[in-house]
Amino acid sequence: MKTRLITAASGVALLALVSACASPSGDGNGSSGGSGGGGGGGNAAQEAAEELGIDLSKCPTDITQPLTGTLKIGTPLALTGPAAPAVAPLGVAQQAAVDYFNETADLPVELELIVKDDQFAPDKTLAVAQELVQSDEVGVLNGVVGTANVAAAREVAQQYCVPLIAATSGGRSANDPTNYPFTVPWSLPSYVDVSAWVAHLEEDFPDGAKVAVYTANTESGEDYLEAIEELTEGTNLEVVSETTIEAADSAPPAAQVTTMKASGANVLFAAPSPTGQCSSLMTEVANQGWDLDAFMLTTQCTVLQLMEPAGAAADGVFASTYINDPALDSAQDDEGVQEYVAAVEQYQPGKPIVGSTMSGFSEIEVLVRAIEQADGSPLGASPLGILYAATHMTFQSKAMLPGVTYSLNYPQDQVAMESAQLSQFSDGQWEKVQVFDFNGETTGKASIGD
Amino acid sequence: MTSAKQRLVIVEGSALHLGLRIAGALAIIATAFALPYVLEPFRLSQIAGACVYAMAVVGLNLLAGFGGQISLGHAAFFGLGAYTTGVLTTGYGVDPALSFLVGIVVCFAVGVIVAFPALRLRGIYVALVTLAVGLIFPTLVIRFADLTGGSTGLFGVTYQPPDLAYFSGFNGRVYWNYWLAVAGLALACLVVRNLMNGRFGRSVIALRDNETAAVIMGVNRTGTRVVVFGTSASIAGLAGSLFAVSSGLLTPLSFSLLLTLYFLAGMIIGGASSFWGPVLGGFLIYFVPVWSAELSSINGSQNLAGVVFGVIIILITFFLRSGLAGLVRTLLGLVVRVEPRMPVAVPSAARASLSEPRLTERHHLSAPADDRPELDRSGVGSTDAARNH
Amino acid sequence: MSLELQGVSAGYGAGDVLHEISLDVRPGEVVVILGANGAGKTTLMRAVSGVIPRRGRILFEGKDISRTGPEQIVRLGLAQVPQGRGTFVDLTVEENLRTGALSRRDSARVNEDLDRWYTTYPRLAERRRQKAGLLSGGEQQMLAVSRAMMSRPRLLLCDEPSLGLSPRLTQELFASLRSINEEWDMSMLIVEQNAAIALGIATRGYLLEVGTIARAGSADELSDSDAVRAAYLGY
Ligand SMILES: Nc1ncnc2c1ncn2[C@@H]1O[C@H](COP(=O)(O)OP(=O)(O)OP(=O)(O)O)[C@@H](O)[C@H]1O
Ligand SMILES: [Mg+2]
Repeated sequence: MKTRLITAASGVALLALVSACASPSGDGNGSSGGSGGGGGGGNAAQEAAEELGIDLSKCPTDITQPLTGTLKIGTPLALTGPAAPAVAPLGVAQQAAVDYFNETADLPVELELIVKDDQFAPDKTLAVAQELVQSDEVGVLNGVVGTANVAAAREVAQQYCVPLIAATSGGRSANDPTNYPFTVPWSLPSYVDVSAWVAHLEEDFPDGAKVAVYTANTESGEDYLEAIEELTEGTNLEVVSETTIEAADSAPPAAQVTTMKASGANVLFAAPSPTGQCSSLMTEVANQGWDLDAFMLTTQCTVLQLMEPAGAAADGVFASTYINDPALDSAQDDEGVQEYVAAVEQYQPGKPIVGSTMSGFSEIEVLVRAIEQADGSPLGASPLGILYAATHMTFQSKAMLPGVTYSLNYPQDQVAMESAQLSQFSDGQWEKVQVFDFNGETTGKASIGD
Repeated sequence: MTSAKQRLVIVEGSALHLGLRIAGALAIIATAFALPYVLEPFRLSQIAGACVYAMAVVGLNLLAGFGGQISLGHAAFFGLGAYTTGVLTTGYGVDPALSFLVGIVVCFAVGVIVAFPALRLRGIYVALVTLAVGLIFPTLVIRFADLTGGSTGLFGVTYQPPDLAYFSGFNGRVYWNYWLAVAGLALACLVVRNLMNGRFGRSVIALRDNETAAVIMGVNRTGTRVVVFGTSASIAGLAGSLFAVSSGLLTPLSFSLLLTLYFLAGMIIGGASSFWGPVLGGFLIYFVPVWSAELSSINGSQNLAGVVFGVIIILITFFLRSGLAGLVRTLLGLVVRVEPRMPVAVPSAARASLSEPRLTERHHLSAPADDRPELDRSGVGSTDAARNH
Repeated sequence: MSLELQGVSAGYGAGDVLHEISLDVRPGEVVVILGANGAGKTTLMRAVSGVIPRRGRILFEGKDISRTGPEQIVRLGLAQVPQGRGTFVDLTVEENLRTGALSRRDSARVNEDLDRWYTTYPRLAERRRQKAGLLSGGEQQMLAVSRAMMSRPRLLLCDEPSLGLSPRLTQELFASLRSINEEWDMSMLIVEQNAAIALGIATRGYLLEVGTIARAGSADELSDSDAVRAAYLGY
């Protein structure tokens, strides 16, 4: 008892002592204001920051100074854990891309990539992002995958004024430039994905169709459901059935398919969880002999690895894609894809080339293009300049399908990927049907804010 | 006794003993105050994360270590506290401190509800009841997505630091979360220590060692178990609340069965039913995955954490039954020996013969030394145990 | 009357083990219960101390305790040395003793009693800070008796206290029990296989067979009875 009292008393005394003193090292890191504005951009920087909604005085470092020497790029990625097989190849492609662009592109800085394992757990993404920024002192965060993970990493990006480029999430909540101006998502938003379905069906079914909706009980699934309800409103596509599946459910969705079939629907909108539910849905639809007039599948299922297990059941399914898949026959004589494949083979020899290889490669390419554009702008290749370029840029990666572009122009256009290549599956391959382009139309719908 | 000559002998309760204990406590406090000055903020955040895990392990140890009832549902209590704080602060604008209290109360209540079926059950059945809780929790979070954000997660959980110079800097929130976690861990340790030192603690261990005998001695089985279960759950819940404010976002994945297994591993590795072991264990289950993640790269990664835990647990079950705490105790024992104070009056020659049947004033019964080997060989303990159950 | 059982039946769910048992213990008396393995002696003890559900009337000092819970019964002044001693192996010797005093709030007197039992059993004093699980069987028996006595009971139930003890230790234990009985004027109900020694200190006894009282009588009567002699005394 006595010991405890003394312990408590000494604790309180120490606390009082320390709180009387100044706060720890943090001050050195710059709680002070007014660091902005002094940099290379001057007025231009101030204006750019204002346009993006950034208060330069809250930044711990001067983000208006052009970068020189080495630019460290930090990527939290699942290298271990259940998501690793799907996600880790992105890191391999990113590394190859960094080496490739260091050699081929004319950049004012040397790129260095640091990938750290976040096991796909958002709280670890947060910790890893902090470590990358504080300890590795990366200048840019790049290519975080998953809505919750992006939501974690963007807090760090925001606090440290570090741009987070190519944040990979189609979720609407991930694209919130008003509150998170440092975070620039890309990848096909569910809203755009559904827009392509609806546009296509309206042409194909002038007399209307009955739609069954099948979504995973996830953020992404809910996003799809919302988009479907909004976009079919006022069209002659009538939603007659809505069923969901738990994200972790790996059993064939027999009950759901039975229900949907019984509803009399002739069109299916499906956004199952890409981790294991893509092929089981197609197989179950075929097994139950449900003769659909159109089967629209989320873009998340389109890589061939996910389609192949369905076999013949996948034939005739529609889906939109935006990145080329090196496994496609059509990609074999695509020079751009072959160039990048060769780069991965050169810099990461022996590593498998998979569906997501091109995604990883082009995630770095987005950053490279932004650096190039910033370098030639009045802002220079400063973090702010790179961020500004990344949000005011139109380009077409060699890894993207023809007709699909990355296009941002804040604040009018806040959705990077608004065009989609609708394709139909046939004989193990995607056959192109039509490119839909909604450029500038989905801001505020595929993103938060206005 | 012979080797005691080479060791430092400290008499319990002496000035030296007290002084050493105070020095130890001060060293810990000083370290806690020094860390923000020497560590990078992200390391400090990691320490905070480790403290939060350690808290949950300390809480689990009360139930599973001291109480002897394995819980496979502690991640659920952890998550319940986390989501209570998350939902109340982001959805209803409740003050985080108040949400901590609500979380503690809610977890205590749920802990008690779970405790009731578990009361009549033993061993594996308690594990099964709590396993059910642990499995249901993530599903419930997804089910009530409107409230919890479902599998997407709940974002933006924060606790603004108080308006002090200490917390005003750029990293003020890191320091604040760190101190919250440190204070939480200290509180959890004190609660468990105070509960276990004394009458209540004896009842808890008596129930674990021999339930029937404990009940016969007058231990209130229901009351004791309910308090243990409830307290253990609310410590886990408070840890969860602190996890919520320091990580800022919650997803049901973070509270899976795997987390419970990590907590259990931490308890076993650190040393079940010791006071310091679970703290060590908690830090270990936090930092081993961090280290292993730091070792992994795009050029080949294994999940080393699992392997490391597996190996440590096997080593511990075979060589180090009482975990790291036991190891530390053994090592300390090589240099220091704490001698208990002797009872007030023990007559050394109190071995009067019992051949005289009518002793009046004092009755002495002591087994003569030469009887002992016989008793040992008789294997009384084991046969009795077999007979009694 | 210290303890009085009137038509008590009890068991473990599957069926009754005890059938309509009636017996009594007068103040200051030592009563022994004899019976074969499985006769229901331990069950009887458990029924009295309230660990298992039971029917019928159990009067302790005139008060019906047949619906009272075990921790309440301890507080009323009835303690038990359970069969197999029931040592709390992970508690120290002293903590074991303090567990016996759980129902008491007079901590000063508890400390006095502790010293008293340490004086009675110096072996326990020497090992007071040791885990009780490390004690020898005989030491654990001393501990079990002292622990029960720590609640300052007026009636002590003892379930086979000699179990696993050498003949010599058994002798000493019974001598000790007898002196406790005399000094504290405490009633005792003792279950014992060693009929000779138990009858030596008992005033009366009961013979339990398959859950019913087969015989009752004074210690001398039972010693002389053929049935008891054949089964328990071996002559
Ligand atoms: N916990 C229990 N659950 C079910 N049945 C039990 C239990 N304990 C004892 N029994 C049964 O009750 C009967 C009486 O057992 P009890 O322990 O009372 O015998 P006992 O007379 O004390 O024997 P011993 O001399 O061997 O100690 C036995 O048939 C036994 O199998
Ligand atoms: Mg028995």
